[in-house]
Amino acid sequence: MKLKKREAILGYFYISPWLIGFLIFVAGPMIASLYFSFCDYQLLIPPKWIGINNYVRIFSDDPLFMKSLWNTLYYTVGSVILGVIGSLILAVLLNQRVRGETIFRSMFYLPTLTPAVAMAILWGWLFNTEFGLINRTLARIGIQGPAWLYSTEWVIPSFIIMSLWGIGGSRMIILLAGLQGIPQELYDAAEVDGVNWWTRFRYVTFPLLSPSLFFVTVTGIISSFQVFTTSYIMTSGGPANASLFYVLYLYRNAFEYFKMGYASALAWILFIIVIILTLLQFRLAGKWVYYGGQ
Amino acid sequence: MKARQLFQVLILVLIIFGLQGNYAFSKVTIQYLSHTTDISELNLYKELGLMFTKKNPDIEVEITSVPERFYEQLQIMIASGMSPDANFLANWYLPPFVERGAITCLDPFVEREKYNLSKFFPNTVDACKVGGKLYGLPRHPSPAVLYYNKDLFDNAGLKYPNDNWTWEKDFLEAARKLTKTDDKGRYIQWGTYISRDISHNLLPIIYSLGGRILDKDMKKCVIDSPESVAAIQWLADLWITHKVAITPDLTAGLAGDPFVLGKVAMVPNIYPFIIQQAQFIKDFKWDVVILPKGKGGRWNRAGVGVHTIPAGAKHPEEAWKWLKFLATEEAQLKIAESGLVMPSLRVLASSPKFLKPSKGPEINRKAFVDALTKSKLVQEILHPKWSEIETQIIVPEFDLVFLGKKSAGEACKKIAVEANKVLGVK
Repeated sequence: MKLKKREAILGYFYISPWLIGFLIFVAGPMIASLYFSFCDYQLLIPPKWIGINNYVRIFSDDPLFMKSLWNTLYYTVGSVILGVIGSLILAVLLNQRVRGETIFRSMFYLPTLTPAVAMAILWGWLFNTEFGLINRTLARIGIQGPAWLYSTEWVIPSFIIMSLWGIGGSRMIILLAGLQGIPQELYDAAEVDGVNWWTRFRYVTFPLLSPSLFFVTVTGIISSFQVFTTSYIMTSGGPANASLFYVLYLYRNAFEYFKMGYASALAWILFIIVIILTLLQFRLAGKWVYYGGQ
Repeated sequence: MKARQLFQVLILVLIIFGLQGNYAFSKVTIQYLSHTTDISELNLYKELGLMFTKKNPDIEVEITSVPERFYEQLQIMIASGMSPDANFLANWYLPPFVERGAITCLDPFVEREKYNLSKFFPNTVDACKVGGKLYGLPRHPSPAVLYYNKDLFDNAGLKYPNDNWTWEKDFLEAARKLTKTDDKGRYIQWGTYISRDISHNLLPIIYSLGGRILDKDMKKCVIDSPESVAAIQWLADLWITHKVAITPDLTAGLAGDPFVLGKVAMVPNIYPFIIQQAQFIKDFKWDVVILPKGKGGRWNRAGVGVHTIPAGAKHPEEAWKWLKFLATEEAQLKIAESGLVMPSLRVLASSPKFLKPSKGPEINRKAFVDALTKSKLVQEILHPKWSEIETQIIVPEFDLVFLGKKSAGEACKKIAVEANKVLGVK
């Protein structure tokens, strides 16, 4: 008992740098923002309690709330599905034993290190209607490309395409690690049974990789709900609010319209939405995620 | 026993002496918050701080720079009681800050000292006022002028723009003649590039064309008047019907400003454009001229860089001295010599020091002075709810109009309804 207690104390001591940081810089502000979400808080003057008014307004009298939520959902579905598939394909390819595999791995990882602003400039150029690489290529095969970032219909697909820039990033690394953790004997056994590559992928690789896939999907959804920088820099939510993402709208309320209370309420709604989605995924996980030893 | 008493007395004397000494020799340090992203400007301010301390040995100035998301940072500093003593502020942030009591009114200082405000351009002083009260001293006015590519005008055999140009006739005609396509019908040159920044670029044009967004008292949105609708349709037609203005999807990813690249003949822009871009132009000759006028008169943007004292400043008196120093000829000359901004003192802006500086391109700098003295300034940005009305209500509708997906009339009707809701018009 005494040893256990001592171990517990030591444990807390060892994680204290993170724990203290979490309490002060994450939990503290979160609790504060929960309080502010029930206030009229204009930042420069002290908050005033107004009950659930902010929440009532968000749901009854704010078309941009639904619009920005819809935009974000659209983006999330596109970028997570395509992104996870992309990372998976890349991870499988980079898991082949070929000469110079480490060089390839580094090359595919590199793009994710580009700063957001540099990336914005690069993609602005790629998406240029007339001389951009994408529309030029489309023109070669006789397709007139859209105005991408400046078209209400194409701006979100543009952002989804841009997000695929990161398929070689940490998500791919996690999947690659997952692939390498699959015991060779299973593949050998499959080979002995003479199965084709699809069956091998479907019945060996996929089940054993499913925990990694589950992890990258969950974290991918959470982080893509927070998409902000690219639309802040490249389109400022336009044209006609077609790329107004939820967090951009939240940011504007907080720092441009001086509605910190309202923005806090928006933040908590987002938090709850993300929690519900995550719980839902854990529910569904039982159907497709396989943990070794189960 | 005695030794101990002696010791106690000694300590007491030391403390008292120390306290007094502290008072007598204390230096006050004031913190100035700068928005600059430019290292040379930051150094300039540090130099100004030293010059100021030389004159006021009891005050030191600490220059702090917040180059990214400056206003977000400033709001947080003020809200958390760590407000600087003085700071830069773009004047369109004055109304929301003042409305929330975050900025010190300067009228008492001005009245007490009979401080001379007439040394500034009068309309820039007005642009530092909220509800008739003064909240800042102008650091630099920022009117727009029309930059034009002389070579493209020469090639087309056109006369350069002059002070009597109108938007409706001269500008549009020239823009038409200066727009060129290659034999495949692809555009290789445009008459103009109009940034879609409403506050700083479109408003002066709309007003010059006879339109308005808010009425004179800024109580009501009148964008649905026939004159305003016509003005906005005129703008949209530059892209849609006449196709004389380069569209934003084509400027994206260009290796620089389309004017600097020589792809565009005329572009309205502000003074810092020279420093940031135009001074590096090597391939063609260019100059500036006052913005055209229209049937609504001659209008310009009201953007002014301002020095203010936050309400939470710990040393407002010292900060006021610093603000006054920044508005002296000596300091303004330093700022002007740096070439970064236009001086706010009339006497300096009209002197050779600004008009014919030793370095930098030789151009018609008087256009910047004329832009201030001969134009009225559009006041919408001085409404506390403007930012919300602009980004939330006007921008999305204008986007549709400029894409040709909605008529100006329809869009303006919707804007008026929504904006009047925000303004509380019944």
